[in-house]
Amino acid sequence: MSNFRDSMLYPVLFMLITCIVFVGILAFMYRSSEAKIEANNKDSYQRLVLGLFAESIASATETKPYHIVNDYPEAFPSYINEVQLPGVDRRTFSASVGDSLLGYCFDIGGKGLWGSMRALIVLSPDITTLDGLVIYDQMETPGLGGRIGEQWFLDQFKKIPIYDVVNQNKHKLVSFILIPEGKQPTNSTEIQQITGATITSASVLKMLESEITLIIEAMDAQPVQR
Amino acid sequence: MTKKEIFITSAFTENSIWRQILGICSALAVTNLMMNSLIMGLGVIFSLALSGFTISLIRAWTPRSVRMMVQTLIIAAYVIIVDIFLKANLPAISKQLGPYVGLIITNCILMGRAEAFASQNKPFDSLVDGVGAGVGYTFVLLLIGFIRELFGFGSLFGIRVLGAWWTPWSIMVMAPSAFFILAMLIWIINVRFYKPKV
Amino acid sequence: MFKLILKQSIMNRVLYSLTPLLLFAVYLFGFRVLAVVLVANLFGYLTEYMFVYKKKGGKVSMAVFVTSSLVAMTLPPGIPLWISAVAAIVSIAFGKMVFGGFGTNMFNPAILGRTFVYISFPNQMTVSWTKPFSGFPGGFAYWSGGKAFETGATILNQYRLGIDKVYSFPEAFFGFISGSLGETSALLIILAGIYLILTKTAKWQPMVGTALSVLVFNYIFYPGQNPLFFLVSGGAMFGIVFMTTDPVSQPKGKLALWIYAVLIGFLTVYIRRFSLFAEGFMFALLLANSFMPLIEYGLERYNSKGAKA
Repeated sequence: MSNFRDSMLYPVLFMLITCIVFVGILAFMYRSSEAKIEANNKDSYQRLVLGLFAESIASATETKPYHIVNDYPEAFPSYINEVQLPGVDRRTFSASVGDSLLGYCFDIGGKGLWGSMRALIVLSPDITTLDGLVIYDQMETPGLGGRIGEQWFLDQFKKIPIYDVVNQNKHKLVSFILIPEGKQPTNSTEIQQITGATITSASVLKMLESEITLIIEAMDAQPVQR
Repeated sequence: MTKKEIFITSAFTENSIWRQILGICSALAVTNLMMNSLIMGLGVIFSLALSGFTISLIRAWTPRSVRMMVQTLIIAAYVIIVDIFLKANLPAISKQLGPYVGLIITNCILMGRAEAFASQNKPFDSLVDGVGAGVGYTFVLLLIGFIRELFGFGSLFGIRVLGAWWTPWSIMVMAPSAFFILAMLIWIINVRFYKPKV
Repeated sequence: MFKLILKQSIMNRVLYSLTPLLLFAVYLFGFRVLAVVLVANLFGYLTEYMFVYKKKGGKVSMAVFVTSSLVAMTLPPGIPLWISAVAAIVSIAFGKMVFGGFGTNMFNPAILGRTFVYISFPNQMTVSWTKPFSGFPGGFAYWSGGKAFETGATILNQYRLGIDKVYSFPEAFFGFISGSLGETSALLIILAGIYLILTKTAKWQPMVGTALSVLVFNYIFYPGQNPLFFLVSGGAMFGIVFMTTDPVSQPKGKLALWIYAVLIGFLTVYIRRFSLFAEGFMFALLLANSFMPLIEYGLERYNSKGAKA
């Protein structure tokens, strides 16, 4: 036996066996919680989608928004459907109460200061108003650019006409203007930027503008409910 | 040494961070919130204790030539278990800690304790040593986290303790602040509790 | 208590040279300016006192008042007083005392304190600027610029946001503009610089070198713009005269001084042009500070080799 332990083979065998044992344990662990991890990811994602529609669903069903959000396991399947709009290659959800369509939710992406970011936006059924924004994945500096996830910043993107209503130009998208944090906006296109994070704030706007343009172009190309 | 002495030694008198200056990377990275620090600390305690225990258990059969590989493998396995656990049960925190849980594998404290203690001592002693080193690490993380969260957000464990009058100090949220807070901490502890070597 | 102060005549002269700037700041922004400077001095003094009172023969160096005044004068006039205190404490404690006290600090303490508060409190430091008073008696009749307080962009911010120029070159040169306390008037700063050089308080190389380097790199990075305009706007002039000449943190040796000056000028413009921050001078100075030991060492090695060969 002691001869065997001094041989070249022993360490190799030992390593092999330990590897098999530990990788086996890990594989088992992973397999057993894989479903839960997926469900978690799906859960948090669907909650975001529902949250964006909560207000409009609540007013349509005459309840309070937080009831809708709290009631997530029931509410999501009953109001939200994943749909495929012709020509749009973004993941899309629609929300409807009964027969009336409340809006569409698109999964969009763009570039931030340090890396890419992913967001969800809500557009009205006739694709004329931006009704909500939530950024669910970003790598900006915590405390500076990371504040694009804060509610007050996101709340600025509600009920904004997408087209340039001032100039009555149906083909021109509005362009957002950044104003300093804390300053009262004079119209809906003025967005309070995050202090110390001009580039991040601007890249959120850039993402919105380019993605909304893409969606509109894709849908204009198709003769659908416009 | 009794178990208690082992614990005290590895947690405080020979603390990994302020005596051995190990595991600094994660101490800088995750300490902007106390909750993150706590979860990170628990992850390290778990991996340290169990990897120490396992390494010690098989130390008699481990060939010297491959012992480092075996240690790394065992540490990695436990760290991945922590990672999977967090992803499955605490998804929000797992997202915030990001890659740092996986990086526990490269945390020098684990390899250090495995080499210095677990590979030469009995399994249960190693377990206690691992818990001790982990508690010492968590203690420092929480201290830094306390200062950073209090100044940077005006809150502790996510609960606001300072009112709206408080102006958050952005620098405390960013990693650079951890550098000088950690340095101050090591300085104060060394001056107060350790006599300089003559 | 004041017996503990170590007298340093060089530092006295720096304080004299700061006086006209301070008076001008009062004229522009009201008497609150004095409060900002006094608070900084008080807390700076207390901080150093805490570090030295236990030591035998420990004395608070006169340099504390220079550092505290300098850091206070880089703050905007509307700054809350407690931030002024924080800036002074950080300057003295982290900028100087942790390195071993006067004469051993690696970084310029005042600029370190300023950077700390700049990063910590971007709202208070950069968003709103007090509009200056004008005419007679100006700020001498007011406590603060509170009545005229509104968001007035600084010149550097205007450049970044692409707003039309609000101030002309003469205004920026003579200093009737909004900005931090001490840095508005290029003219007074230049006079103070001449005084410092004539009394042999400061070396002329870093001042002239950095100014030239800022001009040259501005010409390269912003072609077609008047480089002088950039020199007189922002904190660059103030920093060039009072910060680069700090005898402790500046390098030793003539060649090293020139390299130091060119490096600061380059980094200032580079950071202003390409980074997230509007003002680059303080980062430039800190970066240059941290590279100087290496450069000095390299020069020394090079020289001794040359001597042998």
